[in-house]
Amino acid sequence: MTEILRNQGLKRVRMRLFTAVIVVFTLTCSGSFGMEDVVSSSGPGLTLLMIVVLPFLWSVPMAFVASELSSMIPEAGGLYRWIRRALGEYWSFQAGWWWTLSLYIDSAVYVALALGYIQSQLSLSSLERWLVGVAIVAIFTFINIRGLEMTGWSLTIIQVIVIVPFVLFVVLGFMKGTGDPFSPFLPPGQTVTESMNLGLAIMMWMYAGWESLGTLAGEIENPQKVIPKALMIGTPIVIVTYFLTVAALIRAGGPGSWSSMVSDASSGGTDFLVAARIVGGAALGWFMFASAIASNVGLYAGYLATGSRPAFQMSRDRLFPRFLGKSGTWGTPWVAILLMGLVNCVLISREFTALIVMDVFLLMFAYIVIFVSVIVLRVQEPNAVRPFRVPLPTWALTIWVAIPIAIAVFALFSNGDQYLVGGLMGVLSGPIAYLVFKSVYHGTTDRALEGSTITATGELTDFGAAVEGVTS
Amino acid sequence: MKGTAMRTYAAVVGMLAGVAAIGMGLYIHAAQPQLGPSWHVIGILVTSPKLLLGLGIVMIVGGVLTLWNPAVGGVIVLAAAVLGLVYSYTHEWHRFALLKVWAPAVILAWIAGILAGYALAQTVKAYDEPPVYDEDPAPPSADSASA
Repeated sequence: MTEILRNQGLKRVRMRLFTAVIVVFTLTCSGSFGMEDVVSSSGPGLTLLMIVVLPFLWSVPMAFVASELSSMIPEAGGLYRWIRRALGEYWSFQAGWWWTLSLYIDSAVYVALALGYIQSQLSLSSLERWLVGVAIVAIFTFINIRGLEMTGWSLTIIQVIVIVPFVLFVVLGFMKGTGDPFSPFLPPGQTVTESMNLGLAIMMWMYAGWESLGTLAGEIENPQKVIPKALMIGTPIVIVTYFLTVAALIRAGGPGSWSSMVSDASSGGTDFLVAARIVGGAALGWFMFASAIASNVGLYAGYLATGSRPAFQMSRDRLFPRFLGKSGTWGTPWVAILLMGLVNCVLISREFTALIVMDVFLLMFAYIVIFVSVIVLRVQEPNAVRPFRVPLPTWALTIWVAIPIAIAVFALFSNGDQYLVGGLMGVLSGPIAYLVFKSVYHGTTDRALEGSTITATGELTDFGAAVEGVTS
Repeated sequence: MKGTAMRTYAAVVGMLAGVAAIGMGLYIHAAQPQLGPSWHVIGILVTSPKLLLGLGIVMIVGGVLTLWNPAVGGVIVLAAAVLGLVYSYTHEWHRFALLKVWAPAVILAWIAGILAGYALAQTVKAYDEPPVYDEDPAPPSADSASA
């Protein structure tokens, strides 16, 4: 019986809708740094077109699917639990493993990027650089262990630091800039396909992360209502943010500057920092510098929170070491969070480019399994309670999710042989890990977990109460 | 599907992965023997064809072992495929050509790993699974019935 108390030990906090939207914004956007590379490789016009069109083919389906699944199965671990109910233990372990592995690497990248910005101004030695990185990791590991309430507050403060300079930049960029945001549409001499290749891969990355908030469902009061609402509000905010900031960037850079745009202009070219200095002087340049650091730190804090939950739940399902399933006095999976922080400390101390190449494959395969799961659940459990339901019949939903699946498959092969081979290594680690952990820890049955945890009005069923570990 | 049937499929596909690796090893030995610079492992010169042949044999052994234990056999087959990918990854200038050579073995090894996972899930008793009693319970005795 104890094994079905999936969320037992986790403390549910009241997350206001505003905070939930901030969390969504952090996980899926957190500023527009990185978009500079898309402008130079795809051309200004195509970049802005992709910013508007791609979400409806890529991130909006995921936002809707994540809303439906997290309202139907509002349990800690999110995607891992959704897939387990749809496709069973094997594929949920695979997706949980791939996603977790990807976020362990990803989160370290964000610390490394923040350190890169700091290093550009302070010329730190490698030891000092590592110590600053460890300090960032330690602070946000503690905040995360302390609970979602404090994490939400910290992300709100961080996003104010991120957004305010961008608001000023957009206003000044449109007022003082001279570049044409839509011209040229494509880089001269390139076809649409050639222009889209690299830009699409980056933009898919920029528009990822919609499934992440669902992993926190076990620690949010009324998650089946808060999460879908936050995703629905967050989606247009992210699209508008990208569109306005990138248009302002092209305008601020001036005519012809689009071709030299790079995400790191320390050795020449134009990025958001350079463009901010052009239209707002040194003061806005420094604000944008703070925004860049805060953006990466915010992404780190957000992904530390969400990346640790599937491992916690997999441990509860006896597919990971038992210690990862521990929750502390603050009602958070402190061991899983701490382990992720420790891994990040190790990763930022060394060159981990070889690991980054695995990332795309790991995340894309996890996404494909999520999309398949929503269809399987529609077919297997058509009458299950879904407080949020994608307003499409199953056949239409199938066609809609087939598009992001096709885009994900395209992304697997569009990044070059390095990513293909490295990614395959990462993917094959999934079956190996399952064979090892299943042999050692044996897993649990899910027979006791059949059925919905909530009623149509959002209350816990008797079964839901058992899952929560509360007396009904 | 019974666990034993799944285990057999996993074993067969694992062995096929090995056969594919050996086949590709023999092919490039004849067609492109220079493909990919060599590895020096404990003093032994490991060329691309040699690696394919060697790991192909390992995969076949892994496939056979899957019949005994899906976890052990599956891990051996998959580990051999990962080694092949590591070899391809480290040879930057021939990476894509090597990947094409390794692709059949890697895909078959992945399928074998999936099947081995399913076989394992069907044979390993979950932590909270209720016990299954093979024998029918004894009929109540006349004494207990009268009581």
